[in-house]
Amino acid sequence: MFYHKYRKIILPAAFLPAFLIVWELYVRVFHVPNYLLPGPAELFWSMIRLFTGGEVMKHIAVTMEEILVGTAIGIAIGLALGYLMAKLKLIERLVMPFVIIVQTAPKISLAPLFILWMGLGIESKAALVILVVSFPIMINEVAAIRSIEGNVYNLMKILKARRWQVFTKIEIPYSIEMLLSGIKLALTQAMTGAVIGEMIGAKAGLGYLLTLGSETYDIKMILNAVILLSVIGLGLYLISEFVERKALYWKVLDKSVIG
Amino acid sequence: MSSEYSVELKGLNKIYSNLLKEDTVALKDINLQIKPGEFISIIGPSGCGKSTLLRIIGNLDKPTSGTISYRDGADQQMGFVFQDSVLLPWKNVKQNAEFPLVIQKKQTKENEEKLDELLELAGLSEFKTALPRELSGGMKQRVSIVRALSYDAPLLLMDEPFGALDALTRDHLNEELLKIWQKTKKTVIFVTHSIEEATFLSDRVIVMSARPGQIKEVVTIDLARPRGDVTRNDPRFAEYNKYLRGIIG
Repeated sequence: MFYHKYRKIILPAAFLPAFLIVWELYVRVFHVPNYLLPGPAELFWSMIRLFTGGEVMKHIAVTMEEILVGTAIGIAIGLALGYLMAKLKLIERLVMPFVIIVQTAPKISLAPLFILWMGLGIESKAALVILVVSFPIMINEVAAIRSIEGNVYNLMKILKARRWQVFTKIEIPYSIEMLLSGIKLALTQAMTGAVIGEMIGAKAGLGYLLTLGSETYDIKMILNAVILLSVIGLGLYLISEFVERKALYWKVLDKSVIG
Repeated sequence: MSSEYSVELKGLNKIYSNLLKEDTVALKDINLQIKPGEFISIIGPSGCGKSTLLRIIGNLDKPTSGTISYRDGADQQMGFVFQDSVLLPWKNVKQNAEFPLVIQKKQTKENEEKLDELLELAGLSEFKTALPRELSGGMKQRVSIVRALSYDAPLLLMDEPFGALDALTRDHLNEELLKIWQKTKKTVIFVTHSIEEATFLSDRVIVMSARPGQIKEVVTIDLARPRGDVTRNDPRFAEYNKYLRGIIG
């Protein structure tokens, strides 16, 4: 009974120690040099040292700030542009061709440009995150507003609703639905944007640690940065999923990918 | 313009112009007077413009020419029931039903009590907190009807409201609709493609013909009210159906 209820947690929890033991044995038996692949125990202690040294918190904070600030601004810009495009045909005709051109280019390729323009601080990375996040949000917002049935507007017309009532009672709820279902994807992309920006040019952040590790042949630093990024990514995913489930209580949601 | 009739249509035309093809005449010279409290059905083959006519009465569409006058003048309050229930998915039954009161800022204690009565009348009292996705098609349409009645508009327009439901649910909802109508004394204009439904519900049935959409005949249904199973078994009910089927052709 207990097993069946918690099997989603028990199975991976049993697999992890097995994986770690095999890894440790592999490193010891084949005498893998620790500058190529450290064993899990050694890696663990290096992680502890990283945290007791205090430096790493600063890097985590910088990356988080880039992700959160960039995502928030990116969502705001994406929503506003998307709404205008859905409502005003003229704006859509003016802007859409350029949107498609920029969409087809990998937005990450603009990273060097932003770093030249805005320097090595968090501004350039936040800008990259804004760019990466706002486009999908904008496209989805256009789709969300367009997906509102004509009869919903007819109902509002029958009720002699004012324009702002249509906006607050109909269009905003539909946008929120879209936003919440799209936010998991947006956060994942935001992380990619921030880290790649940092790898190209930064003074701090987990992406900076990745580059530093690779330039100084410090494999432990690389692995630690990767682990920290995974944990942050997982945390953001779980939080956004929790919010989505609470806010979209009225919808049948797809089963979660993780637990 | 106000009128002694609940709705009065004079010389109504609706023409869709098309540069490449000939103009489509959707409605041609529609004249109709509907008395307060009447139950009117509009019936006809698909493409006869019956839904267009209803949308024009509901101000959702503009006629090309002709006039419409309502009893309460230009800002006539009306309820509209669409074929799909158009419920807001994030609102529960109660919230959907009281949505018009929120929009029109009429959430008085009196109106809330009336709304509770309507929900009771429609058999929805136990489902007040249910979400639309948890309801069957028939239930959704009941909510939609209660919503259209919630703000006490004297005129109720219904566009094939039971068209997507199975025959049993439809018969059942027809009887409930008549009960609600008798209690609330609304003027109802009901578009349908079911002859039996039109006969069962209406005081008068407006039969339309297609291309151009015109009123072919107005048939007064002289069956006793309240109507129910007895009505359906009445030989005159069958006669009316046969007669209507004959005109529609």
